[in-house]
Amino acid sequence: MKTINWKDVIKKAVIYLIVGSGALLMIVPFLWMLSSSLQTSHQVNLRPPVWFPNPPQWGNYQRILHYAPYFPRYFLNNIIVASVGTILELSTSILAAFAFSRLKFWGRDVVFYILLATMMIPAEIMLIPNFLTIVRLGWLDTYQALIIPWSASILSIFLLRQFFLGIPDSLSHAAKVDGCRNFRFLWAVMVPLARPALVTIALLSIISSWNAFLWPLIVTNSHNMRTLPLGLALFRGEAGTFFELLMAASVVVVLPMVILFVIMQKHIVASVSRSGLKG
Amino acid sequence: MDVHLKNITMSFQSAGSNVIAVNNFSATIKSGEMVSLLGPSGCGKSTTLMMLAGLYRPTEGQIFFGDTDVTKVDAEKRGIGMVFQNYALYPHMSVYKNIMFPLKMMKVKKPEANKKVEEVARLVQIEHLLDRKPAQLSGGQQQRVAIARALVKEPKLLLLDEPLSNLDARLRLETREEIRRIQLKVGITAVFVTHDQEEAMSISDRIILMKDGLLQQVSPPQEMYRRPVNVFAAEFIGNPPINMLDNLPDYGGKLVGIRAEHFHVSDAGMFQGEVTHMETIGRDTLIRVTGANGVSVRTFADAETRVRLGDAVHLSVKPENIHVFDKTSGERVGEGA
Repeated sequence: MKTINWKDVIKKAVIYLIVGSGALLMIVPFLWMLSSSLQTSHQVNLRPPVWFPNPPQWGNYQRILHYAPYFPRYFLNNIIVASVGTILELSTSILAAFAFSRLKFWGRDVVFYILLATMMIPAEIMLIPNFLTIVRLGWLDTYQALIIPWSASILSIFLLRQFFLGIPDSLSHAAKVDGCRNFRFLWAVMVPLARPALVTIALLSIISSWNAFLWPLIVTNSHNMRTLPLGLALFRGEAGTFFELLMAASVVVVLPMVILFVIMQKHIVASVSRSGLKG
Repeated sequence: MDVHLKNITMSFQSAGSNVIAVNNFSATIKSGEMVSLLGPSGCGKSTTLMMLAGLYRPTEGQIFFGDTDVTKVDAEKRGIGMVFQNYALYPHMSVYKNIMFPLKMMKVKKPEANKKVEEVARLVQIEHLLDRKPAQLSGGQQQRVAIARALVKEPKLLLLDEPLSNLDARLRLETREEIRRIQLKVGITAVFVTHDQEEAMSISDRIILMKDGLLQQVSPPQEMYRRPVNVFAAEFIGNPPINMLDNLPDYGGKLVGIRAEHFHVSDAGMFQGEVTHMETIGRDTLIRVTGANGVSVRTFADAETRVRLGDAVHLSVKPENIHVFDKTSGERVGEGA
């Protein structure tokens, strides 16, 4: 007969309880957002809250456009800024990481450590100088202003450099003997091998760009250049907040990130555990 | 294609001090021969290979491929094949793509390249593995792939950097024979770096023995075994190691080297002592004989003589098998008399 090991059962129960309550804590605000987005403006303000609106107000999603007609444009802007920015960040990271890990030049490590040290400067300190630079360049209210300042990241360079350093020298020697120059070696061998690290970098870049609020707020004025997080602010008027619409819009904003996460889940876990980065 | 190394010196800056890895080294590797660069770790053999490959640039001296001075030619342009200790296969590419890679760099046309890959795969007997990734192969198979990749562009010179060190003993023997078979079949000039004297003895036409960046001896394996030019060469080559005796009656002020198999247990001889250790490995019985002054030598016991532990024995040796070295310089000064 199989005996029940009570110690194991209790241990498991405790673990599930802790993990489960953590999961609940994460998902409740999300469900609340979803539920609120389907309620009437009256239901949203009820105490105790309504969890299952009946009938669900799908019309809220149409009304987003009524209150914020530029919403599709914001969406497009977000996609442009996030994708172009991420591609640029990947390119600069790959090139810089290659230089800092494989090329030999005078002062290489010193330069790298100086760059690394800049990570200790809080982003807020850089806000005004960056803004002034954008103004001087005449880039206010342009895509360049939204993208260029974020097209290189020291963290990404650092992550990738560490990954590149882990690739054995003999591989680059073999490639050289095979007739492959540095640049070709980078694209044909290093980049494919660094895919886990590149996925991490791409995801971090997409998420931070997608959710960016402060920088787009100060460098854009027109509806044509604004991004989604700014768009959400439109639902908070002087006369009060349209919570059901704000929540519906929030669902629209969050949805692409959720889909991205579901698709990339396996890669994210693999890359985070491989790169030793805590997400 | 003959390869000439002329007065090669290579020094590295390491922690502020200047380390000379290879010191005024000259050698010639003849066309079609397999030469081993042999020596203990840190003797400069791998550095020499790297300079032949063009991956390191010598501080001084010149390297010639045939009549062409290639000293300043980059590795990419030298047209050599190289096999590494850890195989250095591209992990994300299939075996087929790995072998194809050098041809792709040379922009060889697809049909011709396909044919070449298949040919070389047949040569190293990995035709059935072409679709696999390197991680799905055993060490021996990976090394075959590496050899195929090195040979596919039909280089004039093949460099092998300790290609057997990561293999287990049985596979090492097998791959060693395989490398020699392929080298003879292709007729390519090859340089083989190893720290294992047995490997060097078995595989090469000639051995270049190095120590501390300095060339010690260049000769065919058997000659190096029979006529070591100095104490280092005598001690490095051969297993069990040569017996080095000091202050023998007839050889005052000299060092005397006698290989284990050249001693014979007999009724009278130059060395006498007690059998203090015996071990039988396969067909050989290795014994250790310790003399009255505490000096001991290793030798083999014949099956007929039936020595036992504790026996008092005499060991004789033919004069031509006695190597005499100068005590201070370590240089060979002659044979026994």
